[in-house]
Amino acid sequence: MSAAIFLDRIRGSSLLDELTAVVVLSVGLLGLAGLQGRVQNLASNAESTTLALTLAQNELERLRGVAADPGRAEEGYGHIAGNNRIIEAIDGQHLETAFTLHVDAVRFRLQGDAETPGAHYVAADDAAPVQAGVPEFKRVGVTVTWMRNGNAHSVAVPGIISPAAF
Amino acid sequence: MMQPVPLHQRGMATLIVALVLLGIVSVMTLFSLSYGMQQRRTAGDEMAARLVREAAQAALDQGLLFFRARSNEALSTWLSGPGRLWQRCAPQEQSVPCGAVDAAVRANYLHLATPLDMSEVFSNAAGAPTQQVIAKIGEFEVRYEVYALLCLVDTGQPQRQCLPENEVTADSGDRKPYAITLIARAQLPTDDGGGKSVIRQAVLKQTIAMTAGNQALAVVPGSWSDAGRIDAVGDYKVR
Repeated sequence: MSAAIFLDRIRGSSLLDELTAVVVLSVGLLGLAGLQGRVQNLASNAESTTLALTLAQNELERLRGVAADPGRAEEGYGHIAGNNRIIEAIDGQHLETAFTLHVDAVRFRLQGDAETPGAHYVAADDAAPVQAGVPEFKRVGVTVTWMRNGNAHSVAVPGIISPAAF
Repeated sequence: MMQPVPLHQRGMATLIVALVLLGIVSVMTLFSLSYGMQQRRTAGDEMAARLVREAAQAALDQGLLFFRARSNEALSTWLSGPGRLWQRCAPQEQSVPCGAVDAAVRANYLHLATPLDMSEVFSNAAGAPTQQVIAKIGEFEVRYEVYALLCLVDTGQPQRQCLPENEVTADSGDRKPYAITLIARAQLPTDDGGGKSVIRQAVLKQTIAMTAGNQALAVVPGSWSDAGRIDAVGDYKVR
């Protein structure tokens, strides 16, 4: 009889211990799952940033190529100005992410004769045609923005672009 | 008879097993966390390296534009008389800019002792003189400077290296055939992803010369040998 009472008591305490173990394990696992989610988010953010930077650099290179074509001073270099473009990322993992490319450009042109001391570049009107013999350039900024988990992210790459023939 | 069982230990064993499991999963998660942080740092590193390279490229582009505005002065008053700025490189000199060319031909180059004073030629959108057309990349302040090396060449003597001034035939415009090698050094202060600030640096060089067609200074798109020969793609006059 005393054995039966003893066994009953033991069974009760074991259940309690097991429940405690389950609770401890669950709390721990939930915490770790949250941490894992954050790690994945970090890694995926890093991937998006690298991709966005590549897109920005490619765009800058494209604009350099367009400006370097001596036969297209007007329609190539001349058309580099502020604009927006939306690119769906080609990377499989980011198909749901839309990257917006924004190009802004400020035009500078040499004021004064190139061979005379004192001549310097000043901000110029975008509409004026490219003039032979007058050095000029555009300060270009390519900004790529994208949304991730409700937050806006962006990277910006600046550059200096001048026409091949001036 | 009742067994002297360690039955009251059974629950404790489960708890211990649970804790061990939790420990194992924790270790795995910590490894994964460290991998994630590492990946983030690598991406940050790569981004900083690419941005500082863009800054150095912008500095080279600015150097080309500087000489487009000062090409005559650079080959006249800077090359002779009391206002002479171009100085011959010493063969053993290893600092920027002379150190950027091969030691065997270094003494044939002329260099400017200081970086180009861009504020003489460039102004910002508000019209104030400025050293840098690009001052910021994202939230980071970027610093760059451009040094120049001058190689006087004579297309009539293609096998000879950069020549001393008196051996180059001046053309009718009192301008000597030349090519300028620009060396840009850019610095970008960033953080290492762990809150520690680090300065990234990039050094790029490129050679510019006059195109034969429209007589404009442009980047030599082929290979420029340190010995002062251009194997250019296209029609470059080197003058």
